[in-house]
Amino acid sequence: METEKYNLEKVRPRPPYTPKTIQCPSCGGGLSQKDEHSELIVCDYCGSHLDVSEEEKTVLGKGPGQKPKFPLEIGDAFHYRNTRFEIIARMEFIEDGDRTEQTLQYLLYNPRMGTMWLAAYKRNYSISKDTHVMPEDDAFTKSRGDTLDTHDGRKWVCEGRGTYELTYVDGALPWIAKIRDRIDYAEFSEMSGSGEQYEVQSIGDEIEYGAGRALSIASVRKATRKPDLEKTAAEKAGRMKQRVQESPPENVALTRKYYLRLLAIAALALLINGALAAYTFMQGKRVLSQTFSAEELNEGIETNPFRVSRANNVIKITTKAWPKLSNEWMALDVVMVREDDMMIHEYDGSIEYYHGSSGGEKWSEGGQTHNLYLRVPQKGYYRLALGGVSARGNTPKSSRTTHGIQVRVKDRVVFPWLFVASTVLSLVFLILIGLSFKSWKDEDDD
Amino acid sequence: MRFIKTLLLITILGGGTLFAGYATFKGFGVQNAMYPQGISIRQDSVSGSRPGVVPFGRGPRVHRGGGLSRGK
Repeated sequence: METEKYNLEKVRPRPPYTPKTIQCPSCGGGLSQKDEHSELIVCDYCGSHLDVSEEEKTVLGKGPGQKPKFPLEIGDAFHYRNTRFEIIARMEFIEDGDRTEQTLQYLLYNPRMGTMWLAAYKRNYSISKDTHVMPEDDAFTKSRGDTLDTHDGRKWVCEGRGTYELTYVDGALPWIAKIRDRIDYAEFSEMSGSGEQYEVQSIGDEIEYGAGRALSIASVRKATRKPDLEKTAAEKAGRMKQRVQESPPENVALTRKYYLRLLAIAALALLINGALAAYTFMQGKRVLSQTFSAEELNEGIETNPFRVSRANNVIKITTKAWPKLSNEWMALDVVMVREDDMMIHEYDGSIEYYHGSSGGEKWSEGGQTHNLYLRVPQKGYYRLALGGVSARGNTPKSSRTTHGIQVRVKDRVVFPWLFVASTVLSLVFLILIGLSFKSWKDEDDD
Repeated sequence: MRFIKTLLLITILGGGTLFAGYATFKGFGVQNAMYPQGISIRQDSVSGSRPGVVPFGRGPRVHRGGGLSRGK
């Protein structure tokens, strides 16, 4: 009944607002109030800022004498999604007092569709509309690359945030804007890289939210029906076929995705190589572990027999000075003997370890152990024969040792250091990419 | 450019992993036995100047010098 009475089922467009004509209290000039929500109108004739929020119009003062160069004028048309908007206000914002950090904003108005914002920063245009979708977190705590959830379930990546100052305004605005008003902003790109944008602005105690997207200069020329918009004189004269394309604004969501992809690749490589390095380190079975004193080593020693289980197995022979060397060297000759008393291998397993401090910095060189990875041609039982001498580092000759030796042999080992090198390489890349990502995130804070 | 960089990273790290696997399988870094057939260490079979198994009857060793002798 109620539905029929009020004809609620029929969707009707909002009746257009009819512009009002007002008179400037300062100079008497006739002005048109096109948007019913306008609270500030700047007189076209004398530049007075008028408060039109009350029935009685009040002169707030005059704007700055110097007018910035706007590529678009008040009253210019802007066609967007089959709707003709008209520019009813223009503003100039400067960030950090730097005139090169200039943002121009145009308020677009259509009597049926309401208002939209067209912004231009260094020839990069974007269009946005007020939205009531609020963020789940404080948008102003985010820095470049951080993510933000909004209550409509969407995810955004922070492009950056900052503060700019209003330096010029003309036309009609839906709030009382004052020159030198400071506006905190935080800008976000849709996480999937669709190019959609979300913006939070804080002006005094008020916070406004906007949603929109970037526009190419070509689409802005088409929308304004101004094919020469932002063209240089040379371009207009046709001397340059095409202006050197300025780099398009960065899509932070895609950049973030790119860094995360690189980090994932490096992390995966680190994981695989680390696991393989650990696996290769764990391979093998200990078949000998013996310790000999210095006295025994001075006499010459032979280890117990140990078994190599298969032909062409790789074994690892580890010799370690005991007690530890300290600015000492130990010359060690090792011979591997088969069970039929045939020598199959001999090597110099010398160890040396030096340490100290020089110029306030500690240094060390050498080590306490010597490792040999050896492929053994036949399976069977083997033993090691060892002889060694040791001395202080500045002693050139020695015929006796003051150190004993620990000998360990593992059968069926795998040489692990190639996977260790690959792990280190992956780690280096992971760190470099991580630092690069952090540097990119911090760029906006500079 | 980003695609190329991603591809380059995959090539370096993937190639590094594959090379490490191949080289490990082929035994890079592993020494082969010097005398696969063996040399007898019994006294009666010693020939030439070899005095037998190294640790026995060896003279004094000369060290090339380490950190201290290098003036550190």
